[in-house]
Amino acid sequence: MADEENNDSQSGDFGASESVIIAAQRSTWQKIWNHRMVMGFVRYPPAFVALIIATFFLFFALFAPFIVSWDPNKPVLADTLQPPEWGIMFNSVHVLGTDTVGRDIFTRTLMGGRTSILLGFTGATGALSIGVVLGMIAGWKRGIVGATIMRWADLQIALPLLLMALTVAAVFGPGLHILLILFSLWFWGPYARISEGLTLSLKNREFVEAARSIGATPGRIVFRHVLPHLFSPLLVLWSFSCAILIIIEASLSFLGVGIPPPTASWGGMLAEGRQYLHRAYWLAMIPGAAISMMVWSINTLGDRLRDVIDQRQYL
Amino acid sequence: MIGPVMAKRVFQSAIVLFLLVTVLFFVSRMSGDPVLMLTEGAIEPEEIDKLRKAYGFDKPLYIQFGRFLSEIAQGDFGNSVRTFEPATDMVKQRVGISVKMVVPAFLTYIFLSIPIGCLAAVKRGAIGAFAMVVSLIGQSVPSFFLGILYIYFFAVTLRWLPVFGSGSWEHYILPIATLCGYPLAKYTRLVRAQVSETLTMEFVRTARAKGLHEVNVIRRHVLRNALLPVITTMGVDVGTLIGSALIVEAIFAWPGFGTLVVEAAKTRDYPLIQTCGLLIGTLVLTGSIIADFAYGLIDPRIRRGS
Repeated sequence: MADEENNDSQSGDFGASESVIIAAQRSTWQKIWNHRMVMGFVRYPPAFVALIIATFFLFFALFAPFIVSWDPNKPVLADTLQPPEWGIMFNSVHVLGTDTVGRDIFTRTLMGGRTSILLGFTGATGALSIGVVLGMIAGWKRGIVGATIMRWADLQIALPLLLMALTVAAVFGPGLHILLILFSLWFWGPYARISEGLTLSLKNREFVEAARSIGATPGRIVFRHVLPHLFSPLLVLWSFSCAILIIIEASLSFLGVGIPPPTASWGGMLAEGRQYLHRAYWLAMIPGAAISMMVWSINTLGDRLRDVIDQRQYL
Repeated sequence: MIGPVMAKRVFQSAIVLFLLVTVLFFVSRMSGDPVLMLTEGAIEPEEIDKLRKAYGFDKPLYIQFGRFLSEIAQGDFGNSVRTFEPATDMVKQRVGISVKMVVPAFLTYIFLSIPIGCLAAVKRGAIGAFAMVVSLIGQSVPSFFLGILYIYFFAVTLRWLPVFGSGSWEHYILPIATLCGYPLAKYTRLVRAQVSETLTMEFVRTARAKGLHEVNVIRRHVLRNALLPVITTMGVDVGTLIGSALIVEAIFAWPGFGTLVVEAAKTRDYPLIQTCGLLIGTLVLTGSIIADFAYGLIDPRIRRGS
């Protein structure tokens, strides 16, 4: 690369500035390519596969309603329990078969993924926001405020999310909005614990001292000086908690207290397919494979992210 | 030194348990009038008033809460709104059934994950890589899908094992194998990570230098250090174990505690689910206290408070 740059800059007066710009651009791409994040993901085969799978599901989670050619929730009684078949006309054939009331499994898997993935991502982000703020307050303030916050965080371990969701479903009945609120309100504990610990250890560092000495308010110190240091560990935790929330949503729908039918959800499709294992294996296998692939790719990306960032430097 | 630390842990857990009682009480009151919720508007207004008085729902919320607390303190967790049996009796009966599945599963994954994880850490190469790939996949397949895969292959296709019912030992294999799937994968990875990190420590080199056999180096020096975080995780994971037991029971139609919780949630039987929630909370908190205690027993540094 260095040789190329020299050649470019020595190639005469005419167009020299242009070739320098090209060289500079090229080296920018080279820099991006060599950046440890990109190297960590693209040049490590499992992470690369995971990235493709996750992107695929995320793409369909966002745009599935505009792409799918079948109605995910409308029964077509003439088409019940058709096995998967591959045809030339992609749109007119049930690529992954149909279920007991003739709905297209491929369409329902994509739409179910949309529910699970968006719920997982928004839930994890909501929990992250709550957890970081409370954790930093607990780490900064200590005393009775910190202890109160951390006991509420402990509470979420004592009654894990899945079981709390069952309790809430018993009172309010199942529903998407309730799940979303619950995922944010009952899953911030791990974020708070990490933020509290890190804030506590960063509190006595020189840069905090320096910020304080020039008269920065505690709020400013915490958000402008401490928060950036929490970014990497929180990102890793966020990716894992997306996977956990997707599994929890699927578990709840599987148990019949998550997303109410006929809305497609991976867990609900599995619960339905379980009864037809001997006749129509694809009913359960396809949503099951979809959720396993999605969770595997998030876990692999999270693992890789942790290795690439190496959060040890912060702990 | 372990006394004051444990006293503090027990005190903190008691606070968390009290918070749990509070949350369970207020969540169950948040949806409005419990009488309306239970009867679903199917009875006369005068009847509603009568029921409200009978259950004490006409009193202010804090009085109801006080009454709720004193009843719990006396061991009265209320009656199921569907069967009118005391909730504690129902829970007791079902927990016995679940224990038969959870305890063997717990022992299985503990006694498998430690040697497999060690092996994967010591033998880097193909065996280690294979164990890691399998365990990452194992960690990604949710237990409800794993159970369905087992049923499909071992019961529907091969017809080796029964799916539902109880009686012979064969009925236990699939549920226990399903329940083991996720924790086995998780602990294998955790043990491997801990062991390979401990292997790089100075004291391991010392132990080898003084001529100890490799097995003894691993058993006496590496494992004792590597297993500490594993034990803590196990304590915290009691809740996860109960959660997966609940799903496995649903797959295999096992009439245990998990099925009771799901039934209670579906029929909106909230006295029953409050009792279950409290039991789960107590188990999880006890689990993490026991783990802390075990940690102290294994690690002399903590025992001596240095």
